[in-house]
Amino acid sequence: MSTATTTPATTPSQQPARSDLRLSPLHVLRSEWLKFWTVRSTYWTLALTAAVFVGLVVAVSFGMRALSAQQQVNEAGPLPLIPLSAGAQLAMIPLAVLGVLTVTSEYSTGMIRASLTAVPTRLPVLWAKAAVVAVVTLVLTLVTVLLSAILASAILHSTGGSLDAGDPQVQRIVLGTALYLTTTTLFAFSLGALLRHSAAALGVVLTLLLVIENVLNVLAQVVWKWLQHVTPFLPASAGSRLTMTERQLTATNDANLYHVHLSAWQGYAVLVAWVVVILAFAAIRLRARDA
Amino acid sequence: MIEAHGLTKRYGHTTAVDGASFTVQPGRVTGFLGPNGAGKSTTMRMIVGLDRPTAGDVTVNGKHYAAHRSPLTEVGALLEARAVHPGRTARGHLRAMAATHGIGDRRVDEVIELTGLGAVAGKRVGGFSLGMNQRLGVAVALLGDPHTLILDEPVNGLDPEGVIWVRTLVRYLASQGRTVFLSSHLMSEMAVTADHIIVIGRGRIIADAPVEQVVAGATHSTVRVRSPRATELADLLRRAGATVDSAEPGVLQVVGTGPEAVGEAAAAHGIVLHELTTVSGSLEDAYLALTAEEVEYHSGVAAPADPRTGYPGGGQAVPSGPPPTAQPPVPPTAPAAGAPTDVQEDVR
Repeated sequence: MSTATTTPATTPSQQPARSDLRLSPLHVLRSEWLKFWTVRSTYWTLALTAAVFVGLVVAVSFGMRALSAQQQVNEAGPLPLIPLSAGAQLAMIPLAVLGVLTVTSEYSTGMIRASLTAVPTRLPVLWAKAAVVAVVTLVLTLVTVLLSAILASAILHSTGGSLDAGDPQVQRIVLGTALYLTTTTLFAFSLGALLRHSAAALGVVLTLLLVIENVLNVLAQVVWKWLQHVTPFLPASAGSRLTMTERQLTATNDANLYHVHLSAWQGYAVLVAWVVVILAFAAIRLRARDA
Repeated sequence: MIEAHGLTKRYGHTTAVDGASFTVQPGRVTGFLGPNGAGKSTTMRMIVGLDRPTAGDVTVNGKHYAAHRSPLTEVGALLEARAVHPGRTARGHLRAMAATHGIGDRRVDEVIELTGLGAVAGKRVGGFSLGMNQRLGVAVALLGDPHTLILDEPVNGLDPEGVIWVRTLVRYLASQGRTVFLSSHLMSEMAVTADHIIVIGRGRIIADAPVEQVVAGATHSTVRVRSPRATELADLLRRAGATVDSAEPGVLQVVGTGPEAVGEAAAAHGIVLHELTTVSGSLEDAYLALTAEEVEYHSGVAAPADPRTGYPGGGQAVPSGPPPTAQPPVPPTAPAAGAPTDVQEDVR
């Protein structure tokens, strides 16, 4: 550090056309892209997501082959689609961590003050972050889901259940699983942006998606049936319809005593609405509060 | 140029900044001086829009900071050296900050060189010392080659070399016609770095004047007199309008008149003097004198019976504290140097 005592003779002055330099949404996007890829947690959460998803799909596929559960083909739909939902359930956890940390780490480290000094209009930071998280997660999950579907199809080939790539249901579920995971990641991101605290946001996201919703769904079936008015609209319950086979979807809708029926895409739209609302509150808070 | 008008920030019942109005002119280094908790950082955070003023307004070159098309080329700010993700490398941090304005990697390398971070640019910031963090903060501030620099306690944690480096750098930047506004709680640092000083205490601007005037105005020379007939002499001097205080029997501390006048008064009445010394105040005394009242109120202590207790650790010869009444801490009479100063006028 001792070399820096020199007179700053070469400092500013010889800047190129400084009029070219300006704050713009695209520049902020580039900045957030750089930020995203320059912290280690990004790499391990993405790697863990892919590993967990593929690993679980392969394991479940082998398990199903061992049981040679032939009869399920008729009950639920094409057999190799079944392991995908198990993979999605588990991959949601590292992705929620990724979504939350992308934004809360700015607050826990104080980096947010540097970020908002560079972008005093503030909101572009939030949108750019969301865009980076969404694009990266979508690409990763699409590749992972495709790969897993191919593996599951190969493993379960001997049981007679292979996937037909031309089947609209198969296409919808492969794309839908990736979209569902991407959107739950954005759900986690939005709660992180709203709560600004890693542990709080992660706690809320994971207990809500993985515990509370399941508990409510059980209660709705067993004790408080009136809950069935509400449970279809819970974020994961609604969004996961996009990952269901047509038969599972019909069964879910038929099981609702109050005829609250949601199609796959309607369910997904409900999850998107959750994200939009939470993100809007996060944006209001970002604008209004001192950083 | 930074212009603040009645800038106020309240957090609940606490008023961090209380109606601060000041102008920071380009082409010189303006020091922002005040004790810890006086409102320096809050004021600076309001300038760049991190905190929203409760009342009042502050603009940079005629506009709110956020209204500038290219904030980073307008203002470079070091507000908190630790405001960095520890897992990112110094270069990674700089590149991300630069990218928001389309500032290229060449400039990033320039500021790395300029701040002496070359050897550690590829290292994670988490392992940095406070001094290295400060340098990184300065590097970020310089990224946009801004017209205005706002540096909050930039020498905090720097080694002596680093302190000199910051001093040289800010003086150089000001000499190029840029506006430089830097805060410190160290008067001695300000005295050698700044051309102009704004003193803040308890959220209010206490003084706003060239550095020499702040020093001259706030450091009042005291005359120390030792005499066997001290009490008699004290009466004489008081009648002549001086403020006289006695710390121990036979010794007087005289403020408001020079040693010549004291000597002449003594001679005229045939009073023997054993000692006649001018004790000039230090920069720290000046600073403490300016902020003493603010600090007292801040800590919730009522004006003490012994005025000297108003100076926390004031050290050497500070004979005349602020009057126990709520007078401005600067003595009402002009110092030995003569001319009344701006400091006086700006005291509120």
